[in-house]
Amino acid sequence: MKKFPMTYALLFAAVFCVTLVFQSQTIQQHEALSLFLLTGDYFTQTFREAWPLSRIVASFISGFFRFPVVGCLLTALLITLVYLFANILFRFLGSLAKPSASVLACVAWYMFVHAGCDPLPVVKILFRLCIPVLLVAMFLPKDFLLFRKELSRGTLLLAFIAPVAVVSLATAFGRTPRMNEKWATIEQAARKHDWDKILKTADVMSASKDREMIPFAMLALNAQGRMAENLNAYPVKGPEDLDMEGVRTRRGYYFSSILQECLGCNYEALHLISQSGCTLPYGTSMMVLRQTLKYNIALGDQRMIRKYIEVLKKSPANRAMAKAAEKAYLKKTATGTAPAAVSDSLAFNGNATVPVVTNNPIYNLILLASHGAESPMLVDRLNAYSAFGDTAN
Amino acid sequence: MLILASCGKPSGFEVVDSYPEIYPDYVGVTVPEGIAELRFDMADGRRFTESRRDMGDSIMVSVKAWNKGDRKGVEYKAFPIYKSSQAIDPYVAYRLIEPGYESWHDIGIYQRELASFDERAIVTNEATGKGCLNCHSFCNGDPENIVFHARGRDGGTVFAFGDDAKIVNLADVGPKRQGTYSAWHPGGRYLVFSSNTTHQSFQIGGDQPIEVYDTASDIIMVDLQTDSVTVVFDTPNTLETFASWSDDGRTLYYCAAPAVENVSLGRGGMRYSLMAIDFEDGRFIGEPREVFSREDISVSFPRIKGDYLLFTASAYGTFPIWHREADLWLLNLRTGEAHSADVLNSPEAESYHSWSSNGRWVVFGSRRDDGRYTRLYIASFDGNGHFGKPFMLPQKTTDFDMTRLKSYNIPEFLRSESPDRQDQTRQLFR
Repeated sequence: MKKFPMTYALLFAAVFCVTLVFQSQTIQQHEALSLFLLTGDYFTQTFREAWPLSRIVASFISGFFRFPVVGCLLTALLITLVYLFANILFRFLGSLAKPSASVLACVAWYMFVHAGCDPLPVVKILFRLCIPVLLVAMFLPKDFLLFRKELSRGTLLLAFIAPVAVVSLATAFGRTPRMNEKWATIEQAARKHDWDKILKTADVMSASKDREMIPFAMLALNAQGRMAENLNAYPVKGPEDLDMEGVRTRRGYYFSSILQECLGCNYEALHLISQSGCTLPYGTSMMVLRQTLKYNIALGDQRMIRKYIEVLKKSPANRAMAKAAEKAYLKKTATGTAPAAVSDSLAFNGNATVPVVTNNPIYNLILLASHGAESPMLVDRLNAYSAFGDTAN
Repeated sequence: MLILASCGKPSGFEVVDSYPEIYPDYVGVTVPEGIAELRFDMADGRRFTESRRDMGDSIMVSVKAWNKGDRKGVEYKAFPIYKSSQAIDPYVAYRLIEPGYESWHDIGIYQRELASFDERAIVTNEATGKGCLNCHSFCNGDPENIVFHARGRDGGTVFAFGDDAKIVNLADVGPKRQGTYSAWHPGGRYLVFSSNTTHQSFQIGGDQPIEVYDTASDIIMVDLQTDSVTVVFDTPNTLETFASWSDDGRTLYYCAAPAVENVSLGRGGMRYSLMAIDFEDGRFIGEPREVFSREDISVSFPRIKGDYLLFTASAYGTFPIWHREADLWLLNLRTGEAHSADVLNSPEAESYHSWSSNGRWVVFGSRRDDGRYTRLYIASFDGNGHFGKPFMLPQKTTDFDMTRLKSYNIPEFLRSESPDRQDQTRQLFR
């Protein structure tokens, strides 16, 4: 029986382990920011872009990145597939085939890592390899070799391992992958309200180098009721470091939606997570859809809950979660805990007197407090802003 | 024709004397001949079979439904779908956009053939550098002539007449006012725009996520023959908006409200009345007159067909789609009587509407399905002040609109298929 080449197993294991240890948050973050839905609108939009089939395959795979171990397995499988195809393609290089294939597979892996764990570059390479591989496999004589010299086993192994080692080290210690992993950890922790994790990742040294981490660290302290007394713990220069008001980027909107959620302003949280989605290629993403569902559950909006559950069911990787949410919510409404409908009468204009959100975060907090909102977070936040004197006035 | 929706039918059915609860609700609606098939599901998700019998002036639909594993199902009373002999325009144009909020990603103006499920883009913001596209309108439902705004860098108002198109920044010409909501004069020579300073605001609490209001609005008119722009109304103490022409083009209707000092705080007191002014030989003559006003109603979107004017009534303000109480009202221009078009309305917002070219159908946006995403409904009109029960724009699959993440906006009937304006528009933005 022919021995299974060890190189495939080695490559698979290397990619899997390195990704799992150093990129598990980035992989999940990529899924959060991607979109794959079995709907007409999704396919119509995708087919308007370049490389539609690659996008569909990559997005489908990305859906399973929600589960890090599965994501790492799929990544390892993809890279190993590149290696397999490349081996067939480079067959005519004789003993140089495996090292060459290793280089190509590692290039694909590197591209994957530096694209924030986006499988699209790898899928594109696979599609581009398909036809040449087929031609080589079908038409090139088996004994056709350009390079006939037999290299030693040790040399071959070294030539195979070297690129794998390079990319492994670049993934583990490279600036971009490490920063991606840090940010992915922070953003995911913010979503899960894991404040300790945020403080551990967005530590003072990291926040000094990347000041965008400061509002997240402040939010974590705020949620623990400790922001006002710990302003000096971080290099906070002014009130603008306490929030991301006016930061019209995906991350800025995302942070603001989490902040509003924590303050109990779920409509504003919905507005801001939608803003965040608008900056993405499809105008939304799996995470935006899940957050939207979460906020609508908090608002008790039954019809929007139903809508977003149906939308999430169109994602193979989210179907089980959507069905579980549906079951939980149906159980809750069956016990009569859903809110009553609000008046639609012309005589009702209670909404006319509700204060509107401004672009002054301090004023918004005061409005919230005057509108009856009570929370330790609100008080802690106001105290923190007060520390900046005139600005608070 | 027997349509099998699921297999594993029970062995027997209990006959009940009630109509089935289906989604979309097509029970007792009136549809035009040739409309795409009205497909539905059981509202509670049960399995079902249906059979349809054409009775000439109606289609009788029989439904049998059951839960999985039931030994006995339910056979409902056959419900009618009435067929109207009145023709309907073959297409509806609309914008697709995420429902509110500040930003957008993909926006486009699309057309949908009513006899099929075919939806195609007329123009998308891929042609305009991803800026906002809005406020499209056609002259008398003729898709050869379209005007729409394309905002953003190098943006302006796009005027397209057949194969010719130009982009004009109205803020750079004449009285230097930006154009917002447009209304073509039936003769095609004049275009009236409202010129609005609009703000969108988000509420701290309550149950209304967004409010949109104007702090100023006036009305301007573009003469397409002379390429000139004139101001129709420019009154600092009054906000004029939503202009609309009568069928004969001799009267311009519009909405007006007294200006309020701090609109954000005083928005609950802003109520627009329906006004009119006469028009002859390219000039407005006489004084504006009040056509309809009520203390508890703010009027938006007046649209006229013959002796009838359909408008949207809300408790206050000028952007009713975010007001749950917003409903469609019908005004008889001869008698001056106005009433809620109850059969068209729901507990959620009904908003933008337009008449078919023969005045026998109306299409309007409604948020009755989930309170957030606007969907399109079509209703028949008998010409004597009565509407038929509206039906949702039919889709290929029953969950199409449930899973669509965009709202339908500014629906307008088209008399024929619109040409694709994508390349033409892209040229303007090069």
